[in-house]
Amino acid sequence: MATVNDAGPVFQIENLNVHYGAGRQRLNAVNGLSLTIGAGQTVAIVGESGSGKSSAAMALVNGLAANGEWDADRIVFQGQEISRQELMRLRGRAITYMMQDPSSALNPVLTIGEQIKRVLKYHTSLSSAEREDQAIELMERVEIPDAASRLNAYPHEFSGGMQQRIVLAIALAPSPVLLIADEPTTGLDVTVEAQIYALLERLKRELTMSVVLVAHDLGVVATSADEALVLYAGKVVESGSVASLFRRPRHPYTLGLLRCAHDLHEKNVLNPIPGRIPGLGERPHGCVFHPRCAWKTDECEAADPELIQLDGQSVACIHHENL
Amino acid sequence: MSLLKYIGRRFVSAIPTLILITFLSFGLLYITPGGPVEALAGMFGTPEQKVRIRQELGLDDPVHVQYLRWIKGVFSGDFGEMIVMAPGTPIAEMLRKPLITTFWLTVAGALVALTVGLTIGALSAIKPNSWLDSLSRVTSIATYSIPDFWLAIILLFVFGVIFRYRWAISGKIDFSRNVVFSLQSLILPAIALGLAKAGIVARITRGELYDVQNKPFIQFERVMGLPNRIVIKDMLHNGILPIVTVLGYTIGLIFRGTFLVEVVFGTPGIGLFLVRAAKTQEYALLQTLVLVIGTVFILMNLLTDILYGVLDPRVRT
Repeated sequence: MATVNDAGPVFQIENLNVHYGAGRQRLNAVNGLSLTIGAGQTVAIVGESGSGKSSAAMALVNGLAANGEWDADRIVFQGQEISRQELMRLRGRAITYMMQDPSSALNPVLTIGEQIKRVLKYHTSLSSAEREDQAIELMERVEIPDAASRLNAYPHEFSGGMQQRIVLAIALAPSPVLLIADEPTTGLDVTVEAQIYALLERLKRELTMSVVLVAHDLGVVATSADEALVLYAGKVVESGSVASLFRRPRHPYTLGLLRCAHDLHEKNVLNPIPGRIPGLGERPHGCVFHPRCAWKTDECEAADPELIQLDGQSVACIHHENL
Repeated sequence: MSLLKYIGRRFVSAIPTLILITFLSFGLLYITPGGPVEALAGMFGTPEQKVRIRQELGLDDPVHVQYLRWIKGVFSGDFGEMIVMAPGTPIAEMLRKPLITTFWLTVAGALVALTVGLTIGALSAIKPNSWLDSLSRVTSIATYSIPDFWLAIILLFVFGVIFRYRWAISGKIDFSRNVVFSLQSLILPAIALGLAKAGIVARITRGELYDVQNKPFIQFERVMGLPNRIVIKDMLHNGILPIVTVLGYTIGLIFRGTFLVEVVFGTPGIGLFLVRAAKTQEYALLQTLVLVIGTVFILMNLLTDILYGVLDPRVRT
């Protein structure tokens, strides 16, 4: 594994924008997201469906759909500023991506051994025999029982939880410095979900890897992330350490999300945020959250609030003191 | 290992259908009006003559004895003899050349359908909503609705009657004798047979290859930085699976289409033969043809199943 530069962050991106072309229109999915991640840290990108969190994650590995494009002001990897092309060369090697839905993330016509081994073939200098051993070791690392004999099995012969472990094994094969995990437990049982997160946590520590975790489940974020960015309609509305964010949310949206989770847990009632997230073409003027916000004033409709630095967190709300 | 087992199981499962087909073709003798005796004795045959013919043909034996005798002959390549058109000639010998002709027609038609269909389908998938895609969408619906024999008539009319091209003439196909004439004989029938099916192949190819680009596992391969050629290979492998399913079916349809197309062009294949056999009540010949056609369809389906099993591990289990 590459040596980690202790002085600076492992990865940093400033002012990331993602947009999709739809006919003559250009629809912004992510607006000005900045993210800094230190060695061995987990940064979560939190938001509802449609908030742009998956677009942001996909942009980092240049895996956007054909009509998607992204740009950023600055990309820093292990203390060095790099270009887009250099970032592209890192993907699949130093930066890998873990797919969302394990049931569709594996090629159904190839054995899992082949799928792990060819990543090793293109991204490491191991010999054919070494790749075989390494593939078994990777499968043991993600706790697949009977690894050696299951190398020749096809994806459909595994359960969803096992499939996601295989996806993780593939993502870990090139010994990445940064792993981007996009809601890695979609479609899995709660118990299996917990196992996958525990495994991810353990491997992260063992391999001193940094993780960008895309999630909508605040419980998961609270237990496995160090920092979090709350994304709403393509904009970061609040960010900071998970501890301070959860103790004292400063943005009405974060507060709403926490209340949803908290009330369901404590009182068994659901306390949803009224309204719904605006679609790509219907982002409101001013603060993106104002149509659903209880603290809304005329100023909120007039101008888009900047991220304000407070101790431990930043928030994009002019009323943050009133919360 | 499991692939061999799968292939074995497919073969075994084809056997009952094959047996059913022998029943059907044998039964033809009994369920159609007339019968060989009438055909042989003609309109003016005396009752005594008919009795003699029945005895000679063994028609007075119990049905199962007759069936077993017939099926024994089939397995040793003896399908009976011609009685009306060319009395005494073994059926197997009569059918050899028409079968070769129909075989080449089917191959040529399938080649046209596949090359045109796969090419246009792939090009449309690469550039969705381009003019080619739109054109292929419209024409595929059109060709899908056009019967092949109608297309054959139009082609013959345009190239044979109006332009009077020599190559529009179709005849006996025998590559061991006359290669040029054989090839020439294939041109128009192959176009008629192939184009009518190319549309459906093109649309399915387009749909599958387009969809597969956005499959999560393809996306995963891309973001894992695998080389482009590997990703494209995997896209083709996965995209081709549903196309294989229609392949056997399409070739079966083309084979069936040859019968009427042969009649239009006067190509001496088994289609033209079948029509004549029915007209002259050549029963042994009809039986054999039904058996052959049925068997070809079963083999096509068997081949499709096996090919699918080779390409997709999921169907093997």
